[in-house]
Amino acid sequence: MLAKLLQDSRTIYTVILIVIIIPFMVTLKLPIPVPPPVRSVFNAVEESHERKQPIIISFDFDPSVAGECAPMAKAMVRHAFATKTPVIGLTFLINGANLAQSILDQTAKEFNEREPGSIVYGKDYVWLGWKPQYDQVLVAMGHDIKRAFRTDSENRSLNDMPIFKGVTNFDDIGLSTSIAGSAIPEDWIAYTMQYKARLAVGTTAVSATQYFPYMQAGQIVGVIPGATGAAAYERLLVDNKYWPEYGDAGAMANTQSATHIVIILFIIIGNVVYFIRKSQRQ
Amino acid sequence: MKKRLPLILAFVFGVIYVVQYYVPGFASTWLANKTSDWIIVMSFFIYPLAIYSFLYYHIIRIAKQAPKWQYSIITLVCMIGMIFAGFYVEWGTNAKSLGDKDYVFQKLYDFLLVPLEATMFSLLAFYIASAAARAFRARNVEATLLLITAIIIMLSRVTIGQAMLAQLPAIGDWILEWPNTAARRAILIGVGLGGAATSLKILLGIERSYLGMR
Repeated sequence: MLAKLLQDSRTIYTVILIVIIIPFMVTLKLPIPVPPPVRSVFNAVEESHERKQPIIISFDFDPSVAGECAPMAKAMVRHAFATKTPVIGLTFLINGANLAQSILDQTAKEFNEREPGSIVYGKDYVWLGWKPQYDQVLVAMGHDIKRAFRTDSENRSLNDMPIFKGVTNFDDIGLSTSIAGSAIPEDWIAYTMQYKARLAVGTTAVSATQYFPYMQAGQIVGVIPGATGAAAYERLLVDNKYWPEYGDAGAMANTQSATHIVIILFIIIGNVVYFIRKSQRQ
Repeated sequence: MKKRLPLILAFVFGVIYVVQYYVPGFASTWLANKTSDWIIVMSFFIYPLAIYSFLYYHIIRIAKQAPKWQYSIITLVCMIGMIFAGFYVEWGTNAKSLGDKDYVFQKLYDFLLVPLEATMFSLLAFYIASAAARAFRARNVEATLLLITAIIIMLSRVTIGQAMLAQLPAIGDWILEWPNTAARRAILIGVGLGGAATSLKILLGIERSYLGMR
């Protein structure tokens, strides 16, 4: 009976659907662990603030992985705005351009609603938009960022913006972060690691493991892995009183816990049925 | 000449990039800047070609009434609609700039593209659950090790894991940082060596399959 139910995809899909929806309605506050790679990214933003250097956030994700990547991008932008660390935003994925611009503009709006005039475009953040052939753009940015882009997404000259004062290339950047669901961060590592700017990666949980060798070799400072990594970053924002509450990733934590538990139960039941059948055959 | 010119170009530009990386200086930086400018400009020509190829494929499908040709009509309508909405900022709204929420293109992006792409990716959760339940079996020692590791990682990455056992996140971190990194590093070294060898073969004109030659 149980084996038959498990063989039917519809049973599994229905259970997963219920398990995803119900935790959103139940308030269960479990402590969110902060893995060392996430703490390292957080510390790198803090150090950029201390050195008075801007950070680059490359929003290299599109709507398909926005569920995991957008919360970590939002958390990083909130962290930068709260510490008054200037943010240079750009994307190498055309489908993600509008999403990224919304994250920057909405977060700036949130801060300005709390404290009018606290975040100013051109001084505290800039949106460079999208450029094709990202490997070439990274090479060009390594020589001169203002030459690689020349204007922001609305054709305003970068030379007139205070955020670029004293900024030539990656040597003048505190931290570069590529948030992506693809392999774009690997190109960031390949083309920018010879400069002084440290590099961090935000990625989907399934892709996170591929960046651990780079982290261990010191080529990147840290990795934010998926929604749980984003929730950990949100916890650091709350713990350090940069933001009063958890964001989207914090809300997802219960759902993720419940879904993982159910999948593990499915695996265990599947294996029990497998061994019972095997012993019966013998 | 038809065969030689692409090979010469690949060699010249490949060498320029190698030299400028290892020999920094005004001349090499200038050359690298000019080359990347040209490559970025040239890459824009990919888009008209892609649009032509896309239109050609779907128009032929509709004309021949190939299986499920109706989807090609939807695809073309969506593509032309997005291009039209992208060019006409003020079309049917008070929008004045690209970032404006009233902009029809932005609305189509926010309320159609974002949910559609997110839905497609979300389906993975259901497929993974179904595949795990039906195929993840402890058939032998290797599969059992994989199963146990997977369960530890799954629990260590979520909040309930820490609530069950305080040391679980640390165990998960250890697995990711050591056994996982060792395996990934071996793969990366192999890929890196293979990539370097292939690049050298392309520069020297030994590897010509990218030109459609043997």
